[in-house]
Amino acid sequence: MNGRGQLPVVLTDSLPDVLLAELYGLVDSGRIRFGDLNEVRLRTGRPASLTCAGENRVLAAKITPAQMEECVTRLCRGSVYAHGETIREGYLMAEGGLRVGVCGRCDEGSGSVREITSLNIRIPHMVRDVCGGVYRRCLQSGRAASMLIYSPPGVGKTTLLRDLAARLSGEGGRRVALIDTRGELYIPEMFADSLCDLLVGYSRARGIEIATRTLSPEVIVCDELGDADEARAILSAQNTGVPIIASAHAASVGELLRRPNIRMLHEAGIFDCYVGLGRERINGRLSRCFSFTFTDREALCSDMPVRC
Amino acid sequence: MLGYAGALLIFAGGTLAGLAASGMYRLRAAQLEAFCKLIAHIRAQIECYRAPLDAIYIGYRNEVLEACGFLGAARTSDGARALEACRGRLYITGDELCELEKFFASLGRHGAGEETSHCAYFEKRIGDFAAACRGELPKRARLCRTFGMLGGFLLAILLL
Repeated sequence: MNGRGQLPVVLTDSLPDVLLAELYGLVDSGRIRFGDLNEVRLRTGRPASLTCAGENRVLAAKITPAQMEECVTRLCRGSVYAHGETIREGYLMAEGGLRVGVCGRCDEGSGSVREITSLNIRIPHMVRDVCGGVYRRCLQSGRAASMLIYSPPGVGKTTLLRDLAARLSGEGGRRVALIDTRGELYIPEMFADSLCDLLVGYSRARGIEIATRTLSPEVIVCDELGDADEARAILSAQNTGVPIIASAHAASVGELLRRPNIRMLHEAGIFDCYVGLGRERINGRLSRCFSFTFTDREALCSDMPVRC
Repeated sequence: MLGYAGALLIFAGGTLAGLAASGMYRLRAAQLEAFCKLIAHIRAQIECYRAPLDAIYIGYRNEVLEACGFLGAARTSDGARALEACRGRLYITGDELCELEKFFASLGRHGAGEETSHCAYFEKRIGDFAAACRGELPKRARLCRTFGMLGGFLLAILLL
């Protein structure tokens, strides 16, 4: 398929014409591959930029305040107010599951964003069949194992989690509760005919609580574990024995376990395995293949002076 | 004989023209009231439910706005474009149309608080236009009918 045709319609309908023309030019000439395009970034009064295969590419097109307002309005389908809550949280969900990071001038008192000056439009890519090693490890003992996937930002944790959740709920035949707080995980085509229950927009803590109380999942999948509430929700879910597969930012297991909330979960024996995710750079470009480093909980307990 | 028939026809034509003119004025009042109700509905939907505009248009019913083509166009595009598309079927004045254009051009671009204030302002503006039009309607309708009949009568006399 022509690269230009792969750009999501909501994106081509929303971007300023001058930026879209430049983007088409790059895609049509082959200077960028659509599959490498991760983000389109707009900044008022400054040139737009792309993130391709983890690298920044500055464009010639400068975005005026009027163009930024028009772009935001179109991304919100003409109803910016309907996205007020999520904009206050720093993002908005456009049509087709397109997630857009939003920031600008905030009114401290009300928390509302008075003027949006930056947009980070993340391009979802339907990447399948990348979780093989993790999938097999997860179901090694028959019952799904609890896993924490870690890597630095931008390596592909979300892509891996999505593929893993789709495979577990599809081919694996497991009831999966997918806690998709920011609407980044779920792509409808990947979950067709699956046993996946989707909780979009719920906080991770609340999503985990609702999933365990009402959906009787066989696996819970969520992205980007971080705060104490999420850790407490996971501890509570563990009482029901539901395995959790989650992700967190860290470059190594050591760095991961230095985070107090993750440490708390480790000491409670929540995760059976920690999966380090990596991607090689070939000729300056990130490879499409993932590499995995599996560290079992028992190995960590024997090596590290922690209470298990 | 033919002359009398012709004069009668001209008189009838004049009367009908007068009635049509008064009908257009009545329609103008109805369209202004319909837009005013729509703006009030939009304000309520935003205030209570933060409903997106496309859903509001899809769920809204109003004979007058359906008949002039506004709602049909709004459901597939947006209010500003819908107004442009049905311009030829609106009987409102240039000033009234200008106010509606300002309303729809800015609708949906701001937070909920600003949107409800925006709607409230234009609901009053269009409501004032509608009330003024409705107030003048009996006098205008009478004038149109009278001039129509008078004009038809004079032309009939001239023919005879």
